[in-house]
Amino acid sequence: MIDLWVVGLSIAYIVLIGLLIAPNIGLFLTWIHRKLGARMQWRIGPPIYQPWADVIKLLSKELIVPETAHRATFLLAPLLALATVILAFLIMPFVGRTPLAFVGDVIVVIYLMSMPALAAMIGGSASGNPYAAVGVQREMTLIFSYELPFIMAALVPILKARSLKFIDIINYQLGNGPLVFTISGFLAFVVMVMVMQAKLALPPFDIPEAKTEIIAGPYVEYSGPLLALFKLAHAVMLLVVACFVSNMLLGGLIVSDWSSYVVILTDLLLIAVKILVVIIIAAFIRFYNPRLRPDQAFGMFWKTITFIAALALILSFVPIPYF
Amino acid sequence: MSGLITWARIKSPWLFHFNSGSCNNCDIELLDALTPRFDVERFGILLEGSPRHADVLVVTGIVNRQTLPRLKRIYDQMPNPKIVVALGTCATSGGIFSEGYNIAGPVDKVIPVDVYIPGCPPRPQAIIDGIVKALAKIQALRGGKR
Ligand code: SF4
Repeated sequence: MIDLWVVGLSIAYIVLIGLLIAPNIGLFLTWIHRKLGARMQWRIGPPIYQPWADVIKLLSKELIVPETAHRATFLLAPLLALATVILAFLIMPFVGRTPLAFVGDVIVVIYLMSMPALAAMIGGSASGNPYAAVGVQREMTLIFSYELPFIMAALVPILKARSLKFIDIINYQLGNGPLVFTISGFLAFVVMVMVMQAKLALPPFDIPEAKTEIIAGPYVEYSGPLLALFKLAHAVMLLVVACFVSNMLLGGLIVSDWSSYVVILTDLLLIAVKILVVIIIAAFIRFYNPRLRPDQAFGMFWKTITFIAALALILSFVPIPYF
Repeated sequence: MSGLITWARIKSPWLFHFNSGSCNNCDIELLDALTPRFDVERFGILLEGSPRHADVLVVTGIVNRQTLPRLKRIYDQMPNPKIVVALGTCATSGGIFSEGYNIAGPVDKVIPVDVYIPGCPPRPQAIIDGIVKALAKIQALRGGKR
């Protein structure tokens, strides 16, 4: 009897939070990105309903599977992208609690966050388009160059809190202040922001889908509903990345005390501010930088950013406050 | 439901630009219309790189023998429903090239055209007006075929 209850609640949780709330927040965040970009160029920019209109329109369009494509793989890749990012969002604590918390959830989320890029690669290579092939090859090289510094930066809070659980990392930061205010935490934050840009394939690291060079990279052949799924996955990924950085370094998305209304309100406000800060930093980097050449981007990740990540990792062992 | 879809289609027209042999002035004007000065993203208009992503095919220039098969193929590559906009005098009627020896156009001889924007080249305001007319056509059809 109890088992049925648990199953029902879990399904309700997944449907409500994962399929309704997460995509909508994600689309709202993409609107913020586009609006900010417009304001930076002194124009008015798209209205607030724009991302929803785009997705609904794409969902209503014809679905074309190219003759050269491997049908099943081509059709399943966008689903894989969306499912994995939603799962990553569900595992992470959003208001300080999640029924899906377990030991090692940080590792699982790190893996899930690289799945959308993998799904794009799978779908791109299944589409049989030469532009997609070039995009896939670029995406692969980019993954190889950013995953190492990303994991090194993620190790900083893990080592500080001595735990692989999000809740423990957040509780550690509740006690000792957000990690971004320490030197190693700040360096890790810088690394994560740059890697985040590459994970989301935003300029200056939009190398895999460079519109002016290889059309849309892995997404060239995707049309209609499948493209909508990829857009949704990208929107949710924006949210997931912002949540991940906030949970690891910015003190966590948590409501510390559920009994007092004042605390709940201020903490909810703080959660929104933390996510928005990460999103706005990403928007600024995105709209003030042109695309890097592939070798420049890979060199930057392997040399500068990996070095900063290593430095952060070493500094996190120094047993002095604020290091 | 169909009302919602029509609304979404009007609010989010993504363009694909194809040069079927224009003198390049029309292309420059189209890109001009897409600059921040005119800010067509207000209407949800975006320029897409792939015909698979696009809703509106903007054709500039007279269609010549060499671009004819490519234009047909790009038209077929676009997912339904789609609209075609013929941009410039050349695309609408042939213009100064209509007597040429290698001409296969104008555009409406090859693929069905929904909106004609005359002008040599048309001003960006005229281009935006033409796209808006195309959207009005979607509204009139209310999600009908094509
Ligand atoms: S209409 Fe005029 S400007 Fe446009 S392609 Fe033809 S000749 Fe050039």
